[in-house]
Amino acid sequence: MNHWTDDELLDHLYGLKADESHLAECSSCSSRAKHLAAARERAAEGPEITWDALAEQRRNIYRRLGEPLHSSRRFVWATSLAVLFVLMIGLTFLRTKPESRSDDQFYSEVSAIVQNPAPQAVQPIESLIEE
Amino acid sequence: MMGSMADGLEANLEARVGTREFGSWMLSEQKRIFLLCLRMLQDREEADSATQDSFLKAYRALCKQRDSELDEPGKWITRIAVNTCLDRLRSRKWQFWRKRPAPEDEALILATVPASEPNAEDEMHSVQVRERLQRAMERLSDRQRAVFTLRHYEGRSLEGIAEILGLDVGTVKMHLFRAVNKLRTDLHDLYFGSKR
Repeated sequence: MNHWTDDELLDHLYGLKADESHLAECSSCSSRAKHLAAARERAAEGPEITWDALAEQRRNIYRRLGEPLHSSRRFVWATSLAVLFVLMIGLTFLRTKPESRSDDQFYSEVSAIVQNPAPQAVQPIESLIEE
Repeated sequence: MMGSMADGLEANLEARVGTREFGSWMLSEQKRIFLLCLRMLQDREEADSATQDSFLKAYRALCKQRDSELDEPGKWITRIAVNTCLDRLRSRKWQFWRKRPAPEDEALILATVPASEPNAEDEMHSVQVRERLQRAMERLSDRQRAVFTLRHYEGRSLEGIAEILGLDVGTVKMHLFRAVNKLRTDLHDLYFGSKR
C-alpha cells in the first residue's frame, strides 16, 4: 500500500483531496492526518488581545452608533464631483474659440484663390521655382 | 468620560433596539472577528476599524429587520466582516504607499505563543514559520486570502466558506487550491519542518 505523500496530506487538510478512501484503510496516514489537523489548530491560535483593547473597541462602536457609517465614502464622492465640476468649467473656458471672420474677408480670400492660376497647395513649390 | 458617554448611549438605545442583547452577542464574537480582520488586513489599526464597521453594519441591519430571527448570527457577522475587509483590500490597491504592515503590527500578528508548545526551539521555529506564512499571504489575491483565512485560521468547511462568501463550492475550492499552491512551501515547513 502506498502511503500518502506530504503534499497529499496537505491537500487533505485543506479539503482539496478528491479521493479520501485511503484514510479509512491506512491507520498510519489517518494518524498523520489527525496530527496535521491538530497542528493547524495550534498554528491558527491568535495573538494575545488584551481585554482593555477589546473594551476600548466596544466603547468606540457604541459611540459610533449615532454617526453615519460611510462618512468617508461620502467625502470621496463629494470630492470627485467637485473635481469633475472644476474640470468641466475649465474645459469650457479654455477651449479655443474658432476665429471669427467677416463676410467681406471671407469673399476676398475666396476670390483670391479663384483668381490664382495655380492651386494654393502648389504655391510654395512655385515660389521655389521662381527663385 | 468617554466610557460613561458610551454607556449612557447604550442605555438610551437599549429601549429601542435591545442594545444589551446586541452587546452580549458582540462580546462573544468580537475577538474572533477582530482576529479575522487582523489576518485579512494585516494591520492592527485597520483591523480595529474594520471590526467596528462590521458590528455597526450588523447593528443597523438588525435595527431595520427587528422581527426577523437570524439562524446563524456567527456566520452572518463573519460574512459582514469578510466583505468589509475585501472592500478595504480593494481600496488599498490605490494606496501605493502602504505595501507592508508596520513592524509593530507584524509583531502583534505574529506574537503567537501557544502554551502547549513544550520546546523553546520548536516554538521559535514555529513562530518564524508562521511569520513567513503571514508574509506569504500577501501574495494571495483578495478572494484567495479570504478563503484561505477562513479555512486555515477558522477551520471552516468549504461549504461554510461558500455560504459566507456567496460563492459556489467549486469556486471556493479553486481559490483555495490556488492559495495552497502559492503557499505550499511555507505550509510544508509549518507542518513537516524545513526538510524540503
